[in-house]
Amino acid sequence: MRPPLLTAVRVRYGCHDRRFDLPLEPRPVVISGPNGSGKTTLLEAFLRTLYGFSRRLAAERTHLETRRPWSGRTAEAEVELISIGGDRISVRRDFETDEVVARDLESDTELFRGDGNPVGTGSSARRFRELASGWIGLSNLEPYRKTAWVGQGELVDTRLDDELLRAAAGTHRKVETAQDELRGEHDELTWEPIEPGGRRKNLPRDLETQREAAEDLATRLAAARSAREKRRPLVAEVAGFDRRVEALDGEIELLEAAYRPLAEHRTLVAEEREARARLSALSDALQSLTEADRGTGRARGAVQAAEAGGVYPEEFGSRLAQADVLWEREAALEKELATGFAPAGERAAPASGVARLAAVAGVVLVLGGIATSVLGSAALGVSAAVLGAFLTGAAVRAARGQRPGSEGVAARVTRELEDTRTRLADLAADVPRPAFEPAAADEHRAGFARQVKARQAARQAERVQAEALSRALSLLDAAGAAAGEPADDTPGTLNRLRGAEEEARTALARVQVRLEEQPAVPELPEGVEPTVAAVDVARTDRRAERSEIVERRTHLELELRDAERAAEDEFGLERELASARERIEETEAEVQVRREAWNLVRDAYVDFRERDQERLLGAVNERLAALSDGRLGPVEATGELADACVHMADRPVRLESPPLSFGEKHMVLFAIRLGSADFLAGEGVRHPLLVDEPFTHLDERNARQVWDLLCSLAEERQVIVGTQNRLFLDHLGIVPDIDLSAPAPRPEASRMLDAERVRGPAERSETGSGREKAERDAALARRVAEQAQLELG
Amino acid sequence: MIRILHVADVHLGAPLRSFGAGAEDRAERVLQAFRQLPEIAEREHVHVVVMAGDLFDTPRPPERIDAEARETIRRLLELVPAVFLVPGNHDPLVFPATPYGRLPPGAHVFGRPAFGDPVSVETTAGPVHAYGFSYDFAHNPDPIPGFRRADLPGAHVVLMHGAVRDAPHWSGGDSLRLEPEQLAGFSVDYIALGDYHRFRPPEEFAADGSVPACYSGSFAALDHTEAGPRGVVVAEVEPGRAPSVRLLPSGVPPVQAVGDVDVSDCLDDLEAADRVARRVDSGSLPVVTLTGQTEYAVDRGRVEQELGARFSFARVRDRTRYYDSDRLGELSGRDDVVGYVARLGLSRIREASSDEQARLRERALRRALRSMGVV
Repeated sequence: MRPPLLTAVRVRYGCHDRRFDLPLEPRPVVISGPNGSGKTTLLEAFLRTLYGFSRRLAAERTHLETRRPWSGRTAEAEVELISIGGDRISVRRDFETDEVVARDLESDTELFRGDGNPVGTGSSARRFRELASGWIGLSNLEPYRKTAWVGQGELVDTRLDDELLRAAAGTHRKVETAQDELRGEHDELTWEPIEPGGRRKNLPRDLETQREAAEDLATRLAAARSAREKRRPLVAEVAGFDRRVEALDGEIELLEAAYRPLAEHRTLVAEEREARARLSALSDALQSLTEADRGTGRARGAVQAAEAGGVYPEEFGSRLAQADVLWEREAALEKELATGFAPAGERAAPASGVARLAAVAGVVLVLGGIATSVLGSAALGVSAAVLGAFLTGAAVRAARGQRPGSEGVAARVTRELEDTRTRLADLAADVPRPAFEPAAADEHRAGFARQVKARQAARQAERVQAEALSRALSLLDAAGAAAGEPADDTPGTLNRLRGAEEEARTALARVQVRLEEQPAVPELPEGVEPTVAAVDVARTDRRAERSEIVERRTHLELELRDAERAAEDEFGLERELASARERIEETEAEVQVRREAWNLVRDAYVDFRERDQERLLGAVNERLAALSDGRLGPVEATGELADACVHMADRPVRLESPPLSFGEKHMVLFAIRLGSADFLAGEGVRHPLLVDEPFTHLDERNARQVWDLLCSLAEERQVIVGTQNRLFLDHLGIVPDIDLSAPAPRPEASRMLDAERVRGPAERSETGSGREKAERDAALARRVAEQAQLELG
Repeated sequence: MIRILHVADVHLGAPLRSFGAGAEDRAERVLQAFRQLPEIAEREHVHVVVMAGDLFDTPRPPERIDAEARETIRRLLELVPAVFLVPGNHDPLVFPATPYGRLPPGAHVFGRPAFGDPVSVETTAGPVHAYGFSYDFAHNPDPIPGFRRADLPGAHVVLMHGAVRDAPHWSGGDSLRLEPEQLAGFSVDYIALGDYHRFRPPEEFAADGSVPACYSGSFAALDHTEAGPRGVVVAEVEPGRAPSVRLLPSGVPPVQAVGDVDVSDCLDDLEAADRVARRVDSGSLPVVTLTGQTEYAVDRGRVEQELGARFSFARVRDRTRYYDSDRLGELSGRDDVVGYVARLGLSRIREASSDEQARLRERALRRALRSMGVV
């Protein structure tokens, strides 16, 4: 594995504001300068540019403040290096913001830009640490500071203890790398800590995301199943409604199919009833009219029969009553005339006045009775007439008795008789045979009564006929009347009635035929009477029920749709869930594998660590033997590393001064550092060795041995030495590669860094002298070739 | 003789997640193969096409899938007088916007939940009478007794999507469940079944061919467990005789169950992948279990990745033993931290309380060594 090489640094850091290029020959690079010229600062700048300052530590923050440029500007530096993989890399750090930009100088491409905070936990900071580890073999400064970075202050503070062992142990590096890798993989999979008692990450990782997704799927599946369960009764209910609607539709269809024939049947029945009634009415009318007509004929016949002997006058009754009186008067007068006249004295005169009055009253009564019998009551009239006649007769008889003489009485009687007979003759006018005499009076009376009775019967029959005719005419249609037929034309009416009756009978027969042609009772839903009304009611009820069901079904349908919208594809979800669970199992297994592997590495390393102590001491003793030429050493630790002793003149002494001199202690501590660096490099990466003031407290012999060792080391790894001991350098004939005692040029680094900040990396190649760059590149190529040769060797 | 193209369980639009990164590509391959059905129908001179359910993976597939199905069926109808379909349990007709409602005329979907009169078509080989129903547990939990064979001359074909007693979906939810005796009771010439994803010819229902039922199986493997050939069935049906069926591959790469492959003498994952690859048929997707005592720590993921690069998908199970290999013995003899890790890891494997724990610890040991740069 190639050792990484630091090739240049541009710094605006502490007292420096310039670029330094390092020679690439296999010898120590020497930086010289008086005290305070910035040798340590420059050496430090290489590593701080790569690893930065931890702002969590107050000492680091204070240290950073001391490195702020004297100009007051932002501390900034850029290191150029050749990585373990042979790539030419530049790393620029802004110490204020810790922003780092890394670029591949060969391809001039940007490899990284972002947070270079050495203790940052973000992905950017972690990524940069990974890159730094890949370029130079270490991801942070801590192990460097305890091993290959031999700073003046750090050397004094060197402690041979477990901390140094941990930092220097190459195995530790390997274990740490392995554990980092396993932890990284583990932490990508889950937010749970890999080690017991660790802190859980803030954000969920693959496993948690998968579990969450699986839970979500399970929830959705449960919801889908629930929706299905909810849907099941709804579907069943909808199906029930559908079946009921279907049944109702069938019933409604039946009812509607039955309605028309039933309605037609009802109409026909009504028509039949009407036809039958009309026929009956017409028949009745015909019969009534016929009978009335016959009755009228018979009555008229009776009248004719009664009037066969002649027709008695209408007032024949009163005539007869008057005639009765007159006949009695005539008989009385004839008797009086026939018997002669009685003495005047016998026929007392005193009654003449009363008789005259009674006669007048009798006449009045007779006349009134006749009038009454004619105009009003025959019985009353006859009675009055009889009473009048009696009074008149009595008065006449009384008057006769009062006549003063028989001649006069006879004349008067004769006159009266004649008068009576005249009046009787008048009464007998138009009287049919027999003669109108008292003997025939009863006959006349009976004949007259027969005539009266017959006439009354005839009138009655005519009234009946008129009524029957009227009824018949009302039954007949108006068209007949309009035809101009006489309203009282009974025969015509009878004929029309017969015609109408025939028509009515025909109509009835037609209706009856249609009724007979009607189909049987149509099929109806159960419980429905085969009547129009029942069918109508049933149809209305079913339609109402259907509407209600359809409405409820619509609501259910909406509910069902909602349920269906909520329902997802169960099979799809089940498959997804199964797949998700399978992935979770796989991820859990992967997590478990990483955790087990991490624990395995950790536990194995705990066992192995004791072995590391022996190896570290071996490396330290090798360097100590070289540095002290065998006068010091070996360093041994029977128990804890911190209790280690160094053998001096075959006796173990503590690593302190006293018993060691400052020079001896310096040698031992330097050997510990070099040994630690070797130990660290034992795992493959020979990090650049940065040594500050290696000759302090050393005599010439020891200093030369140190220099020789550094020269030896420089053949395997880059060695950069900083010293203020110009006398010693001159004594050894060493020419410093960087002489900080020379006057500093203009702040070229600031100019370059600022220019690059403004122009960007593309124009970077235009800066600096072309010749210098060519020389540097040539030297660099030589060094790389030598390193490669070294690798092959 | 009537030739019937019997298709089922195409599951168009299925996510195929089991195929991981290749799922999308495989879904496209399924769609492409489905588009080839008219060519198969023409080449095989089929008279009628039946699709026995689960044409779609969901009741509401994406519009593109819907359109592809319509177009393919339309092209089929240019060749045959009718395409008969029944929905499956994945694509039931419960949603108003079912894709079955938009198929072209001539595609007859049995949408009622009960058997009805057959749909008859006249083909050049004689009349075909098809029966079917859309299974709906709520409306008709047991539609089978409602079947009535019409007294018509010609071939009588029944389409159903359901699980016969010994099929995996037998106890599954609201799926149609069929008794073998019920199938035997159908007096028809062919029963085109869907739902069961493995091809199952009539001989597997009754050795004497008395049950003319056939599962065509899934059109293409839906996950890595569906190994073996998948495709469509061409059934030759003659009234009164047992049907003859042939399974035609759909053309979608099948999953090949390679079984156990001993990689004991392989030196690395690449060699192990080579050994497996030699046993994989061209165009197949291997599912393999690595076995044997290896001298290196097999990385299952790398072998799977290598095979996946060659076959577009691979599933690898690692059942190799490493913990008592010579290589691990050599490592455990080293006096460095790797040796410590190897020794402790082996000790923990031996102390494992179960095989599963031992396997896990072996994987952990492999991973630990790999993290320390040991291959």
